[in-house]
Amino acid sequence: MSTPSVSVNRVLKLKSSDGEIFEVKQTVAVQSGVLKQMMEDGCTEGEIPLNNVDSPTLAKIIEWCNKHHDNDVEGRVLSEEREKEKEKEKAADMKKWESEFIDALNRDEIYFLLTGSNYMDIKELLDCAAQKVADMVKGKTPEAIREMFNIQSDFTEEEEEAIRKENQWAFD
Amino acid sequence: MSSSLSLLAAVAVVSRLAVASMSQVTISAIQYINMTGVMEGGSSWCDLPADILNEIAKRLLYIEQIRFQSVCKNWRSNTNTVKHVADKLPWVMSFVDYFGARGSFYLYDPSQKRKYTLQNEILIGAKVHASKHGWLLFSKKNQASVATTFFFYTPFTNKIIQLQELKLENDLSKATFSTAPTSSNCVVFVSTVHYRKLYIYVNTRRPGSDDQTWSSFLFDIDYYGEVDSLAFVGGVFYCFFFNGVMGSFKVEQQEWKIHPNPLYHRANHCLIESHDGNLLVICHGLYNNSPQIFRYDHRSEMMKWFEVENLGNRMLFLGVTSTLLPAVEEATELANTIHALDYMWIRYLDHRIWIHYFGISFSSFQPLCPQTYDWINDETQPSTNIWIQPPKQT
Repeated sequence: MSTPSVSVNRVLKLKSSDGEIFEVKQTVAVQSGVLKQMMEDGCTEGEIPLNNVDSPTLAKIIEWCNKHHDNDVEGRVLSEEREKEKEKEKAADMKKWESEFIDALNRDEIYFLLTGSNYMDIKELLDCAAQKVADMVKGKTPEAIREMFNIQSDFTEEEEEAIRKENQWAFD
Repeated sequence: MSSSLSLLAAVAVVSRLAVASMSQVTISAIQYINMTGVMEGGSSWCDLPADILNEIAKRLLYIEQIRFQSVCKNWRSNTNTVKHVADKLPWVMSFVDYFGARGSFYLYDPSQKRKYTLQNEILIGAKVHASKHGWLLFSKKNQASVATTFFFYTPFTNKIIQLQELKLENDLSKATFSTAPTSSNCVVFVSTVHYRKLYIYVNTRRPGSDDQTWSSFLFDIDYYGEVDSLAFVGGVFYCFFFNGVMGSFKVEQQEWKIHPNPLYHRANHCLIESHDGNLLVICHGLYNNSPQIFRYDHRSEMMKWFEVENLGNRMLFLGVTSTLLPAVEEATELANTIHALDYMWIRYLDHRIWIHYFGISFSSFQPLCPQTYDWINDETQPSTNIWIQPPKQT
């Protein structure tokens, strides 16, 4: 595998499914496993079509990546102890920013962020979105989960009964 | 994350979409993006791909995973990280004595090697008596009324079932129960010794209702010491006293009986409920003798004890409620092993070669059990550890 030719000033052109072009610094785009791979292979000329990420979702994804990138490159000329403290503070700030970021989204937006971060292979964002969904699901019955996500049960009555019986204790 | 095999397979089909300058790998990456979902229009939560569903499911508690899988067919068939446990391997519940200030504890799942941190304030200051069918029986002294409240708790659903208050003769009472407290025929059995009298309290439910009542019984006994260990086998509660005497109480007949016993003068006893309805006892001598296991023939009139030479491919879990379980499926490698969570038994168990042990509270003991439980690390504070069986799936 060749060494990635990532340069600070170079930008990638990402094209969303609805045709909008987003310019992203290469140093930011490496957070996506898929884009990183493309950079390593030296084939990021022209527009990169992301056929299943629409523009609102891509904008959100880029916002996330920019934030996480900025956090990484802030200046570091502090004493070791001060630096540790600063790191801690930064981690806490980032956590706060992440939860505000994810909490501001509606269900559809979370859905597209999940699928978008999954295609683009952005692990941290996928983790954050998956955690959000897990938190939404916690303590809810299957019926309540279906209602929340607008899912129709596709089990037959018999299947549903069988599942319920098999795991009676989970539904008590 | 993405499986490169399936990606490469897809290259041939749609390579015309790729920009000419792109390499094969890039084509496949783009292709992956194109393939993974058809999301034009609205969101379709039911159709989430397997890797996303598993990302979500692995962040849920076991009980929530079960519910998660019951939402729709796709969610059910694609969440392969969720392993259904049968009644094979007990989990471990671990807490700092009296649950600290918040009632928090850890729950360890040996099958998935997962550690859950849970909490319920009712557990603060509570003492554990028994563990069966996914439920724990606790007691707690009420500061104001000097009475004791017994309650059931299950960490799997965080549910509590409270019993009526009870006034006990002393704090050394022992308690156990017959079957899951959600069942109408659940009987709770409490016993305590006070001045050569045995006090027995039995909690039953009135048929067809949720009303429960305590009945009390009083029997004169010789000097047997305190009650050491309790078990419920074949519809009968068995009490083992400190000096080695065993008695039994039949709930329906309200009949108390002392049994013949060859095990006098042994220091520690622990009754064992076997999965096949047998009653066993494990004991060790005063002078560091090897532990011995006896099976009690309670079915015939002979009422004899037989020494057990080996575990017959089963696993023995010693704890507040000790159980002998078949070592099947994922537990096969644990056949003929004994597992103890408290120091006393760990100390006495290392004499026989067919006995393995591990001690999660005592790091000086090297675990001999491969993989299943040895990942459960010693927490820094001394803690109480309980075996708890995940609720049965029928």
